[in-house]
Parts: sequence; structure tokens; C-alpha cells
Amino acid sequence: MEPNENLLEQTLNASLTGGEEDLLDGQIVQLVSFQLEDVEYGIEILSVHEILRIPAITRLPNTPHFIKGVLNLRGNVIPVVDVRERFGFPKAVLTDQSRVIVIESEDKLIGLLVDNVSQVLRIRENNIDPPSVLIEGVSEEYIKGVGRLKERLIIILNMQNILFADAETKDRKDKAYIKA
Amino acid sequence: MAFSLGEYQDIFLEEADDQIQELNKNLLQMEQNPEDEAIINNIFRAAHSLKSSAAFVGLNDLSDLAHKMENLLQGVRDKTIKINQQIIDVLFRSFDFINAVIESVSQGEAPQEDLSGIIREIQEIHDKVKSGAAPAKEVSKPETKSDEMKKTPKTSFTPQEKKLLKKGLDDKLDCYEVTVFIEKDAQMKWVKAQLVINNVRNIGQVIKTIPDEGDITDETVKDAFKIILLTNEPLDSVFKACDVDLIVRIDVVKISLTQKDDKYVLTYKNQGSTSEAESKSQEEETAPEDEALPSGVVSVSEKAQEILAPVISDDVHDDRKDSDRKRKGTVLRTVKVSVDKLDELLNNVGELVIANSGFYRLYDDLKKQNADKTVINEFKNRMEQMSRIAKDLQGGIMKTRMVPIGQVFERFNRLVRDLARECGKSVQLVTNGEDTELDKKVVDVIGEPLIHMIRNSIDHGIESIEERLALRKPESATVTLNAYQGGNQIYVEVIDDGKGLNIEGIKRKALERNLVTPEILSGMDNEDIYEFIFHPGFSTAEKITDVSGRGVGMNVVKEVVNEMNGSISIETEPGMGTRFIMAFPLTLAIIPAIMVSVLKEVYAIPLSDVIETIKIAQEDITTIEGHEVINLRGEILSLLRLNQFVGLEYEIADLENIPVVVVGYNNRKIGLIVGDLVGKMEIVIKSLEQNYVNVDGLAGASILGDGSICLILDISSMINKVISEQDKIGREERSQILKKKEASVALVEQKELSAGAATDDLRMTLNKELISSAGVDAVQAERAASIQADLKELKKAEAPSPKVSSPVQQAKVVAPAEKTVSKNETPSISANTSRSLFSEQTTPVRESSAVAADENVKEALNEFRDELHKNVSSVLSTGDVDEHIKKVIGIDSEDMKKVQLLANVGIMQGADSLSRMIGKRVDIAIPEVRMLPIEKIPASLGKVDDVYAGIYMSLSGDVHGTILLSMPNDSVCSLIDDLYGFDTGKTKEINDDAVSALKEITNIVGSSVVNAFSEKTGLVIMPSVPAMVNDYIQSILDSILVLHNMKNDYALIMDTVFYYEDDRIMANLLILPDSESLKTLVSNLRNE
Repeated sequence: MEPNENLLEQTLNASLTGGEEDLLDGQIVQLVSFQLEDVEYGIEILSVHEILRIPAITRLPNTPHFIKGVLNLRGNVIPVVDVRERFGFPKAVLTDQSRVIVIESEDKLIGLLVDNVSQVLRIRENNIDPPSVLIEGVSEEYIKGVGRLKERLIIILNMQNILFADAETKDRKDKAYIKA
Repeated sequence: MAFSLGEYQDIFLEEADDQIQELNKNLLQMEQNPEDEAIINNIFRAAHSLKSSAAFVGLNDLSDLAHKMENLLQGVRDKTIKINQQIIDVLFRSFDFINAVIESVSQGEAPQEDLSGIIREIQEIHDKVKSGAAPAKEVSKPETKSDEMKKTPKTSFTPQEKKLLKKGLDDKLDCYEVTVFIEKDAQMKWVKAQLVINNVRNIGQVIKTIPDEGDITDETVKDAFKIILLTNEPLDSVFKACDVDLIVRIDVVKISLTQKDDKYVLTYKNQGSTSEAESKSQEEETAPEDEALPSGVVSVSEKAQEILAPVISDDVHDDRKDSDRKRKGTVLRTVKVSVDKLDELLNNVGELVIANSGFYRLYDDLKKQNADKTVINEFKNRMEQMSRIAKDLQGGIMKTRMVPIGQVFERFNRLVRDLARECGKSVQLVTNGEDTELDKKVVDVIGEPLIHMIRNSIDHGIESIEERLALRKPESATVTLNAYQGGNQIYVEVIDDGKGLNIEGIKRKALERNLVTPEILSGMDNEDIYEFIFHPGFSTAEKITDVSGRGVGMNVVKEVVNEMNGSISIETEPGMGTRFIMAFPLTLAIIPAIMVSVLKEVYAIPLSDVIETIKIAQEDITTIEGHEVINLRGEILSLLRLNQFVGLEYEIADLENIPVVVVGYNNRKIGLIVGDLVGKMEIVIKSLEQNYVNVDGLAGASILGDGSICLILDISSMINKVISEQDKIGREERSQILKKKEASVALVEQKELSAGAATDDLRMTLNKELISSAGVDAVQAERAASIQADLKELKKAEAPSPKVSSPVQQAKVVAPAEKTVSKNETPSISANTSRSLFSEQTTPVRESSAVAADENVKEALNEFRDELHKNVSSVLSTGDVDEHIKKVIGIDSEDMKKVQLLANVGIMQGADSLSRMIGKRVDIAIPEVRMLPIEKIPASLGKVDDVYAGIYMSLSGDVHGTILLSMPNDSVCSLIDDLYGFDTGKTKEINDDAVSALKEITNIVGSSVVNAFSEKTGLVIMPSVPAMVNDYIQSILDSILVLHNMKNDYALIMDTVFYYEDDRIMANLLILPDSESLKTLVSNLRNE
């Protein structure tokens, strides 16, 4: 159950401010959530650097298709991953709701292009299950766990692999999924 | 877990590095001048500093070693020990140990070196030398507290100071000599000293400090310093002022003035002392005591007396002293800053510049809104001021990254000394341009490549002493390190005066290692061959064979240089030496770049990679083996479309002005077709790796003024990509051609068998051809190779032809030989033509006018000219001008004369070029020049039934037509024999080598003729790459006429003879201009 341990460790470091809703047992995990094709995803707030409206993105040739390009974040050149393409969803047009979530993973800043950022969620840690069966839409290597919040299911993403996991096998899986 | 010395490790390492440099430099100097005290002092100081800093970080062994060195040197300094080789050697070895220890520490390892041996050794030497020497004074006395007094500086006064002193004392001020002892292990002693001096200054007038205030450093302060003070404050405030952190003891001596025998005498009286632990209380006791008793009366020990020289002093002398002191005071203080910090700063400044550009937009908005004029102007002024400051800041920070290369060079004295000894050679190291400043990054990494190159030079490049003497070279070889700036580049050179690179050895090795095939190798020029030594693992292996093992680590050199955006080239002269030239960009932080666009995307190409920018037309682009190429001034340049490279598809709209950036990397060049040229810009490189990975084809990114990102192209990877693709396609193509050839031969045989149409002769030829194509004589191949090499050189020399009208207009390349194949049914042609594809794509050789004509050539030309005039007049006397020419084209015999004259001049120059190419005199005589209607040509040339070799080049530009060299096959064979130096009759058929040689001859001779016309008429005439047909003369002419769809009525025919030694070979050179072109030609001649 390594992902869970990881979560625990990180949440311990998090400052638990405010006496909100159900502060019962277990640590609270805060997630930045976004919606993609009816499924809600969450990224731990600790790894989120900032959230931007769509800035100018420069296309990066000769890179995997899901690399949307690079953006200038105060002098830092950071890559932008189109999360839709990364997970094998059809492309979508940019809207007012589109955002780039800048995350920090292994000392690198990475931008994630998402359709929207819905809210920041607080989930108790014991409401998070490890990824078990194949979860609809996204292959398991990107999933850290599944959070339950009342009736909602939030897929908590594992950011380690988002940039570098083998893109080819990924593509194949995606295609297989889309066919099925 | 990495070994660490704690938080001061970095400081220690930096300091130690300095000390090591200092030690190294001085040790080497000492070897030369063992008597020089300054050098010994320097070594002593370095050892001393090392001792304390090593102790500070807990490297006690190292500290001990340094201490022993110091002791030994102290002896030398005091002249109780005499320097000898043994001492120098042991010092060198100690130095090596120190170096090793520091090295392991800096690599995060615990030092393993056992220093006790060397420490003992020093001690032994010390004892031995000392016992033999004069009775020692306290040379190596361990440092104890009692010793401290001896270490305190001696007090003496300059006349100026004495004057001050006397005045102060006369004013009833008290004068104290305060000696302050600083905690032995304290860091930054000079700061403490400065602090105390400043404190003391608050309570009185500081007359002098020892060491001098401008000269206060850790070195000079050591553990104690003195202040001479005039004050009216009580003694305890003096103590108080001196008592800062880490001060262990304060001794105060009162100086008073007494008169003795007409002389003023300074009397020193101890006023008390303090030390952290014990003396403090004692001081408190003494102090009030002193207060109670008037100074001078107290019975305190009289420490010293100094005669105060007559106070009247030499003012001039004083001034000099003062200015001396001032100069010392302005000694540059340096602060070490990590490059990372600078980069960060630079980054911030970059942001500032970008942020500032936002104001410009704001300013424009303001103007549009018609805001208050004065406000707008003020705004503009401020904005511009800020932008200036930002620029200055940027420049300043950039400058801080530049450091002189001298510190790198210094290291090599030792290396050269040791290596030379090891190899039993005598080598001098000369360094030039130590002050040349390079980017810190380069300076940091350049050491390693330099070591490799120097090692190579000494180990392999420089001959043994005996060899040198035998060659009448100076016994002592010289290795020179040179650094200088040239344009936007900094050059660093390693030069030796050894035997030079062994090119044959390199070739052999390259073949052995299968780095290259003999065919390719034969076509390579020397520079390309030298490049092999940079190949990983090249050389070293074969040291035994004496085949220049050069190349040890040259791969590393190349890699490091490339990493720094630099380049390396080699110049070498057998017997004279070798020069490695590294070129680095001035700064790595900011690079000038050419901005290009593709659709809406902007890319930057580092200017260092750009050779030129040109515009070409769609029709200039030719396809060879599936590659787009252009002919740029005679050089075939592969093209790469940037839009394809970056994955954008679009049609080029303007087919006339396609912008091409010619980029080069090492010796390779390609043309990069871009969408548009935007301009030049200075850009800051940001790595993509920092947040992502390195992307193929991109060197990084840069942020433009508007905050957008532009990507920087990595030219080397682009070129490599193109080259590797070419190689791949080239191979495929070649194997395809091989197959085709086999098929065609099979076809021929079939035809022969079935139809029996071919004559016996023809069958013979075919069979021979088959044999020859199976295996080319090795000797022959080598000769061909050498000729090709010569050709290449020739081409190079001729490349910058002044006649070139517009570089790109010339881009007509290649008369596709395959087409002729399809048009000719004769089997022998298909066999020959397809073989001609084998030969390397040759580039047209431009006229020889660009070649510097040497005296020999002039002579030859004169000879020719005389002969020519004779010929022309004889031709004209025959009056053999076709009536038709006069009537229809309107060319009279006067015009013909001019045409003929020019043809002759051209041929003459062609002969000259040809001679030069093969290094032997080849004469081409012109027995006859005539103008004939096309239909009469076959008959006039000779036997209609003979097979001729026809090598032709199409002409384009202002004159259209063809230039054709034709000769019977047997003449070709003799010519080849001659050219390659074979025995007559050896060459029996036209093989690949023959084809390529023929093409070159045609190229040279034909181009010369064309150029003669071109020059005289002012018309642009451009010959294509030669192609060859082997057929009956009628078929040759037909294929040319059909192929080029031209209407030629007349041909200018030059029957020539190649004289080569004893042989004479008949050939015809024909110029077949189309009728219109002939008219143009003639009319231009008339106007000329």
C-alpha cells in the first residue's frame, strides 16, 4: 500500500487549518479537482505550484503528441502536458474555463492543461482507496488512489509518470481502451 | 553518504584551490631560481594558509603536512637550510599529496591518503640538513604561547610618523603601542583587525598599524597586530576598544619621548596585558594602577628604545611612501560568487528587461489616449532610463562571468615539467594571452581538454631529443598555449613543434577500425581525416607501433568543446608541428542569433552556426538520390526544410525568393529552407532540460521581449540527422543501382545471344567491362584516390570565383544520366551509363582565374599564346568558313576569328588547370578550330562506326547549349593510363575511374573555355555537372540534342591533342550553342 503511506506522510506535513465539515478521524487530504469527460480527477494540493489561465504556449516540435508546448512562467520555461491527450481522450478546444495547473514533480515544474478547475476538495485520508480495478478512462500508472466524497468519486492522480512514462505503450493502451 | 567537512567545506575548497595554485606556481619557479626569497616566501605563505584552513575543517593530517612544509621553508627562509634538489622534490611530492587530499574531499570522499610517510620524510630531511648546517636558531620551534611575542611584528616608524608622534606627545597626548592577539583559529582575522582599528580610532588618533592598514589580510595579520595610538582617553578605554570577540590578549606599551644626548628617544613601557582567561583580571588591576601613577614614572619594564631620528625629514621621501600606501590600499578585493548565483541574477535581470518592455506598450497606450503630454514625456524618460539601467546591469553581470584563462594555463607548468621528464624529453611551456577572458563555465572545463592535448603533444607529437637533434631542431621542444579573442570568439590554441600528425597512420587506423571504407577515405580531404582522431577509442591502442598514438582522449576534448558551443580544428605540418585550435563563443550566457519564422512560429539559429543567408528560386532546387540540393558556388548543398523538421506542412507560396539559411557545423554544411528571415537578436539560452528533457533538434529556448518563448535550433543535431539519412538513402540507392547494373548486363547478354546483333568487338568490350566492374585494381584505386584528393583541393581553391554572378542563380545541377539510358538502345551504353552513376557526384569546377597564377603558369601561358596565334592564323588562312554561317546567322570571318581565339584561350587555361591538378605538365594543343553545321560533325570527327566517349555539360544562363568532349574509346584508355601513370595499354576499357577522370577533365577544360567566353562577352554562362555517354558519335550528338531539346545549327569544333609526356591523344572539344545563343555570343563579342 505504498501510495497510501505516501499520502499519509504528505498530509502529515500539511497544515490543517480551519474547523471545516467532518473533522473526524484520519488526516485531511486537499485536492485540486478538475473534470474530464464526466469524471472528476484530483491532484494533491501540495504538489500544485499554481493555476494559470491559458498563457501563450509555444509548440515544441519533435516531442510526444501530448506535450502541448512550453510556457514562460516568470522566466522559467516549463512544458505543458495536455491531460486529455495524455489520457487518450479526444482533443477539446480551449475555453474560458481551460486552465494550466502548474505542478512540481521531482524538482521539475510541469504544466497540466485541463478543461477546467472545479474546486479544492478536502477528503479524509481513510476515504481514499488504492487503485484496484481498471478505472474508467485512465490507465492505472497515473492513479494514486480513488477518493470518496459523499456520492462523488475522485480519481487522485499520480504525477510522477505524467511526463515520462513510456508514451508508446500508453498510446496502445489508450487505443485499446477507445475501441472497447 | 558523501564525506563532508561541514558547512565550511566549500570555503575551504575554494581557498585550498587558490593555495594549491600558488604553491604549484611558486614551486616551479623555485626550481628555476632557488635563491629567490620572494618565491620562498610565497610558498611559505601558501603552506601556512593551507595549514590553518585545513586545521579549521578538521583535516589534521593535511594541516600537519603543511606545517612540516612550513617548518622546512622557514629554515630556508632563515638561511639555515640550503635549498637542494631533494628539498624541491619532497616539496613537490608533498604538494601532490595535498592535491590528492583536496581532490578526494572535493569529490565527497574521505581522504585515504596516508600522509605520515611524507611527513616523516620532510622531518628527516629537515633534521638532516639542519644538523649539517649552522647552529639553528628557532627555526622549527613549535608554536607556543611564548613564541607569540616573536611573531608579533616589529615596530618601526617612518619620518612622517615620527613627526606625528612627536607632535602628539608634545600636545600632552598619551601614546600607546597596542598589540592585539587574535584567537589562533579565528577565521577572517583581518576583519577583527579592522574592527579593532576602527574602534581605536574612535578614542584617538591612529598613527600607524602594523601591518599597514591597507595591507591587512589574513596573511599579514597572522595572530597579532599592532596599533600605534595617540589618545587622551584613559588606558582602560583603550583596552575596551580593543576587546572584541575572539581577541585573546591585548598588550599595551606606553611610548614616551625622552631626551638623551641631544636625541629624542622613544621609551617603551609596558602598560599591561590581557588574555581571555587569566590576564583579564590582572589587567584590571594594572589599569587603575596606571591611572594613579603618572605615566613615565611607573616602574615598568623598559622594553625597547629607539632613537627618534631628527624630526626634520625628507618630504619627498614621505610622499612616495604615502603614495605607496595608497596604492596598496586600492588592491582589488575579490569576492567569490558561485556561477549559479550569477545565473540567477542574470535571469532576474532578463525578467527585468522583459517586464520593462511592458512599459513600452503602456506608453503607446497612453499616447493613444491623449493623456497629459508632460506626463507622457516624463513617463518615457523614466522608462528609457530604466531600460538603460537594466541593460547595464545585464552587461555587468555578464562581465562578472568572464575570468582570465591565465589561472588555467598556470596549472600546466607542472604537467609539462613532469611529462617531459617522464618521456625523457626536454619541453618548454610558453603561454600567451593569459589575460584573455573567457566565460567562467568554459574556464572551468577547459582544463581537461588542454591536459589531453598537451599530453598528446608531449607524448606523441614531440620527438625524442636525439630525433630532434638529428632533424636540426632545437633540443628543447616548445609547447605553446595561446589564448586570444577574434571577433565574437575566443580562441585557445595548443601548439607544439613536434613531428605533426601522421596522416597515413590515421588513415590506416581508421580503416582498421572500420570507421570508413577505402572508397570514402580516398575521397576525403586531410581535414576530414584528422577528424578521426576525435573518434572515441581512436588510437592509444597501437602505441607500440609508433604510429602516432595521438588521439588519446581526443574524444573527451571534442565532447567538452562541443558542450561549450565551441569548435576545434587541427592544423598540422609534417615535421613542423601541430596546432589544435579551439574556438569558444565569447559568452555562453547571451548569444547572438538569427531569428527565422515558419508560419507563425519563430525559431532562433545561433549566429555561430550560420554561414550566410541566401534566397533561392524553386527551380534552383534539384533532387539527387531523393534529396533536395542546390549548387552554391560550385558546392552541392543538401537542403533541409525547417517546416518539415518542426512538423509543419505548408506550400511555399513565393517560389522565387525562398529564404535559405546556410548553416555549418564542423566541416559540414546544409541549407535550411525557412519561411522567413525575421532578424538578428541577442538571446539568453534557457535549457529545456531544467523542467523537461532535451529535445532532439533544439538547443534550448529563449524568452523574447514580449514574454513569449522562442525555441533555439540545434544545428549540429539537425545536420547529423540529415547526414545520417543521406547515408542511409545513399546505401539503398547504391545497392539498387548495383542491381540495375547486373540486370542490364544480363539483358545485354541475352540480346547478344538472341539477336546476335552486336559485333564481336562490342562483345569483347562488354566482357571486359564486366570483369573490371567486378574488381578494381587496388593500385588503380589508390591512384584515383590521390587524384581525387588533388581535385578536391583544386576545387576548394577555385570555389570563390569572382565571375559568379549570383550565387544561387548558378544552381543548375546534374544532367541526369539515366535519361540518356532510356533513349539509347545500344546495350553497351546502358552498361556504361549506369556505371557512371557510381562515380561520386562531382561538382563543376569553375574557371581558373581565381587561382593564383604562379610564375610557371605564366610562362606556360605565354608559350601557349604564341602557339595559339600561329594556329589561329593558319586556320583563318584556309578560309574555311561556311557560307551559310555568314548568310543565315550573320557571322563573318572576323567574328569567327574572335570566337576561335576565345576558344583557344579557354583551352589553354584548361590545360593549365589540368596540369596543376595532376601535378605534371599536360599540354593541350589546338591544331584546328572550326565551325561546322551539325550534320557534318560525325563525318568530320572521324570514323562513324567507332564508339566514342562523349562527356558533356549543359550550358545555361545567357547562353544555352552543350559543351562536349569526345574521344574514341581507345584514346580514353591511353589517356587514363597516362593520367594514372599506368603502363601504356593497361587500361583496356572505360571503368569507373576512367569515367570520373574524364568527367573531371571535361569539367576543367570545358569550364575554362566557357569562362573565357563568359569573361570576354560579359554573358553569364553556367555549365552543369558533366555526364557521360558512350556511343557512336552520331548517337552521342543526337542524345545531346534531343535531351536538351535544342536547335543547334552549328558547332564550334576544336580538335585537340593531349600531350602527355611521350603520348599524344586525340580528342575533340565541341561547343554546341543553340542558334540564338550563338548570335548573342557573337553580338556581345562585337560590342566588347
